[in-house]
Amino acid sequence: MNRLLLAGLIAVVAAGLIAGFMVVGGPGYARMEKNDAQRTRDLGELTEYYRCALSRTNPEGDGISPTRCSGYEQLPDVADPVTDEPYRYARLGDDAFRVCATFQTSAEARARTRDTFLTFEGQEGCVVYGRDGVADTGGATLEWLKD
Amino acid sequence: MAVTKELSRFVRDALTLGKTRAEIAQALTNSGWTPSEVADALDAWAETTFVPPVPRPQSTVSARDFFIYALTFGVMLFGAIYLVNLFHALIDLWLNSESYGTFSRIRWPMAVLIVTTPLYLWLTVRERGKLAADPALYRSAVRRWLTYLTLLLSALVLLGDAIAVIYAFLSGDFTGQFFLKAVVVAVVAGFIFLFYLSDIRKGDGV
Repeated sequence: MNRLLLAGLIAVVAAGLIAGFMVVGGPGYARMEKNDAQRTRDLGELTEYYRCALSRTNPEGDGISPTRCSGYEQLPDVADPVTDEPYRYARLGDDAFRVCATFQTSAEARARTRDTFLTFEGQEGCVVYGRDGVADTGGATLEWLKD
Repeated sequence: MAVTKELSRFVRDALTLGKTRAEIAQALTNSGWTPSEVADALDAWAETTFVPPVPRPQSTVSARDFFIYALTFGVMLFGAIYLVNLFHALIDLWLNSESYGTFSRIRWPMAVLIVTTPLYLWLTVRERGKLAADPALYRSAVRRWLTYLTLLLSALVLLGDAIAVIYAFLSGDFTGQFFLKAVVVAVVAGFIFLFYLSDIRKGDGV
């Protein structure tokens, strides 16, 4: 009886561990997840910087200083954690831009991390910012950046 | 029931002086000891005419037992909790793939189980070997207490699980996900309960 229960215990734990490894992958995959999280944070910082730069060079009518921009006067010193290449920035018009990075993990895995401000196309993830709330491309809304 | 030192000494002295068990029982009863205390006090000495009186085997308490059994039961409790957590996280992921932060909920229990399972198995198999070689170890009071504590905890978990299922059913929250999680809890707690129940029964026979 006890031998049977001990064997059952081993079987249950082994099944749990195998299922766990199949779902979360090994340490290499965990590092990829961490790198992607870093990219997400970097893109967030860069978006703040470019948003503020946009507001300074092209103030909205009333000429008041851009809001929530303290600390974003300098371009953040960030680069892709693996390749060390700079992130890709592109202007999409007078009031819009996007910052992009190449992500490593799969789309399903990223869906679990709730990076809702990112838009993905394959492995490329971008923050698309438009000052009117709606960007020129992709239709991504970024209400969280606006007051 | 524990027999006090004074009572035990009195019974030993009385037996040494050649008093019969009936006389000793009468004297103790007259002094206010209850029948069960009297029986326990007399049972502590073997029924033989040999003098001085021969003590029957008593349960033992040793620091070594405490270390081994507290470690074994601690490791088992820790591992059981995270085994349940692991399966709950896997169920969440399976039935609701949008579930947030699931990967860390899987990695930590995996780390716990990779350490605790081999340690628990090694401690248990080693102890079983020792018990088979020397059944006197079944008398360890620490072992009995911790075993009964484990039985109590697993019985309480099973009861709580059953109550949670009924409550979820009555309040309309009884989903497939909830049912699977309740089954995981019941299986793990049931495993532990059955394992130690058969263990303590074996020990009671010694």
